[in-house]
Amino acid sequence: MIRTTRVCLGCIAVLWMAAAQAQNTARTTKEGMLREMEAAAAARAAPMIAADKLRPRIGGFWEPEKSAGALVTIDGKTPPMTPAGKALQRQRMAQIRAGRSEDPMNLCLPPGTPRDMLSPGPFMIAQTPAKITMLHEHRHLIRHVYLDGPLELEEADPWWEGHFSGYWDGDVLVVEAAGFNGKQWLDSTGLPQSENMKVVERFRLVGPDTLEDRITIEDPEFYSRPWTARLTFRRLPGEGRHLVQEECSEKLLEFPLKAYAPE
Amino acid sequence: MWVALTSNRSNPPADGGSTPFLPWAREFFEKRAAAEAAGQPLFDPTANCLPSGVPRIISSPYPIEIIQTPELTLILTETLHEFRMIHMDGKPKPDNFEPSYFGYSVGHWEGDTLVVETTGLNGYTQVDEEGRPKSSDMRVVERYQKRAPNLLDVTYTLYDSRTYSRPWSGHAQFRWAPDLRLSEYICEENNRNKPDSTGKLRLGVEP
Repeated sequence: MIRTTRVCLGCIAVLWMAAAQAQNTARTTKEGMLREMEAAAAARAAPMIAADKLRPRIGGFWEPEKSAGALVTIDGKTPPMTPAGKALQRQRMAQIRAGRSEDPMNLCLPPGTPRDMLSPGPFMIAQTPAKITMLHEHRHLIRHVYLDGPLELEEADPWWEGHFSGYWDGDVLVVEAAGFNGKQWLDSTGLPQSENMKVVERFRLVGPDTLEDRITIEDPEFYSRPWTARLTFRRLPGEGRHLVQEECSEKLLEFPLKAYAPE
Repeated sequence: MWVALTSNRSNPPADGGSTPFLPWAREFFEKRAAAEAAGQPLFDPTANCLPSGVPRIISSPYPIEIIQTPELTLILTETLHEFRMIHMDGKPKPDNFEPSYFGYSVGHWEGDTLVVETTGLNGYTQVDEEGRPKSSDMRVVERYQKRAPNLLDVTYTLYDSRTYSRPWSGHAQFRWAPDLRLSEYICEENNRNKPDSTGKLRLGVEP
């Protein structure tokens, strides 16, 4: 469960309905109450819709400008690691060289954050007033970024992807993530993460068709200080574009799938 | 955000009639039922973390989220964190479209009803868990309509003359849940039911 200090939207709807009911007994039908609930939802969406009109348009289709290998700092260096971080990465690299990699990606597990942004192939950003949704072909990954940030996680189930919350800081979309299970690697070289990792991404348009993602990793168990990586994406023409999910689990089957119907 | 009120266990025709199986489809269905009754269920891609496809995904018991943009209607499913892209541009499926689990969907509005037509399905999946099959020729027409402000009805009609002697329709329903959020759903952590080459499952579950 996520507990937050956010205002309970459902409670507002209930209070709204209660007030409406007191004013007008003719509205006590279930249908009437539901209409009030819809009106309450529309009322709380109105300011978000107005604010969204002023935001940069990052919605649409994107692909990485270059295929990502190891995640490095913004000045091209190896991330600043603690002895524990270095040891764990060395162990993972040795396993890869020995042909017994334990990369969770090999078992079709979700890439997690920020590794999802290193995914090859196109992704779509659905930009709506209350939420940014990122849909990837690779591993049919979906990132749900509710625009209710900053993130206030008191207690959360540890997730592969982490829990997201976002907000607009001027023309920059800030996406905060925490609440990880600590099992995924940050990249294919085995950069580690712990359950206490915090990730802050800052998305902004650096050209009309270029999206930058500055990713700051904070995880004192494995990194001696917070560090920042930078990825860029190029806009793809959207017209008629269709994403087809990569179904990784097909590769884990021991025989090829075949259609049921006789030819 | 919508919470499913229906399930994909068994989805016979919603009018209460019998399923108009062609002979191979009836044999397929009965073979699966017999194997399951004998405690030896046959391979189903969904047991191996693969999508249940259209139309079965719409009667999955987990929540869905619908996002509307001018060009696309997106249906996101908690089940396997999948998404469907429904094209609202009125253009047909491209000729070079490779068949897939969710196919190619084109949508339009008829009054207050969203009508979605899907083709280009891969034929690897069933209509329901019980075992109504389909072919890659199946065309699915879904009609999404709000019966009440908090109730979404979906009627889907299946056109598949390689599998059924006539088109037939099923039904799914969802309740509005504006404050709900889709949860993480990780099938792969429990991907143990490996089928052998005859399609029998080696149930990797401890007794």
